[in-house]
Amino acid sequence: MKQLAFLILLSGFLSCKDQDPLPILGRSFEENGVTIHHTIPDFSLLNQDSVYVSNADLENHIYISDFFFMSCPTICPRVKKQMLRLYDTYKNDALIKFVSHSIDGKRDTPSALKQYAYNLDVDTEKWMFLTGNRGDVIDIADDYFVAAFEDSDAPGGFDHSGKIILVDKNRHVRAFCEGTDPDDVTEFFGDVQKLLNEYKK
Amino acid sequence: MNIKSKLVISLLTLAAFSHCTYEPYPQGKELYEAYCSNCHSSDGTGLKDLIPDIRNSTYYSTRKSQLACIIKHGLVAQDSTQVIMDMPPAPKLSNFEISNIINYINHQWNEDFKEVLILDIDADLENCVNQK
Repeated sequence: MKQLAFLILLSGFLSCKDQDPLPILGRSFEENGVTIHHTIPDFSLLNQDSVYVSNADLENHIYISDFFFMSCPTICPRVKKQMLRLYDTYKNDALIKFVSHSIDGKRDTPSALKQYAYNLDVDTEKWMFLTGNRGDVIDIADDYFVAAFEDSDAPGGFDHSGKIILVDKNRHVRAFCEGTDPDDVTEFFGDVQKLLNEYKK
Repeated sequence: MNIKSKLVISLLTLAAFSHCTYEPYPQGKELYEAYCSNCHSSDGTGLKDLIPDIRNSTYYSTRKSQLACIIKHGLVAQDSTQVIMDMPPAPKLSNFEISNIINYINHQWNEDFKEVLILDIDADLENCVNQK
């Protein structure tokens, strides 16, 4: 009987947690009684077709994002495989876009990224590949809470984390997961669904 | 049931289970995980047309005599081939280690498994040195 009570209590907590909206991540502060949340700043980066892309191109969309570079011999292919899992699930959902940032602007030119997207067999209307001056991409990685920096000792010349990030329509980061860990990504699917439900009510 | 028959049954069960998980190339598996799995995946599937699938794929099976060279010296992306990303070299691997990796891959995923011998690997690597 005690066990049953415990289980009921536990399921109550779990379902409560499930109903909570996703938090807005990052530092927030109060100004004139209004809470200002961390927001992805304005950016302007080249896509795989050498066209400048800015926040305006993502307006009215939520997006799933990662940072990588093509010649990365370590975690990137693992993360891309998980991004592909997410893409395959949501490619027909008009509300979602995918944004991969290359931190190696020198080697990953727009045309190289176009070939990459082609070989990955994804629609670049849905999943864009952005590049730019090294500093620009590395700066913006900070705003996605992704560590990315040049390190000549790291394999491939860059050190970076393999996080996959979920951004809402208001440019707020709402969830993330470790892209190298398939189980963590499986949980992340739940976060994506939750955010979608917010907009589809 | 007497103790003897219980013992026989448990031994048989153990044998059945250990047979299923028996890995003839344990070093090959470890090296594959350390050197290859980041890109080719632990299940050998690769990544679409970016990183080749090494399970029974034509890409793989038509390059069998070059495998040792490719593992040791890597591949450089060329417009003329399907390779758009470099495969990094692993110069520190010994011929013996390379033969274990190849045997692990072949045994794990390729239907017409035939063990490669270290002598074959020596010869293959000799040839690729000559090519350079």
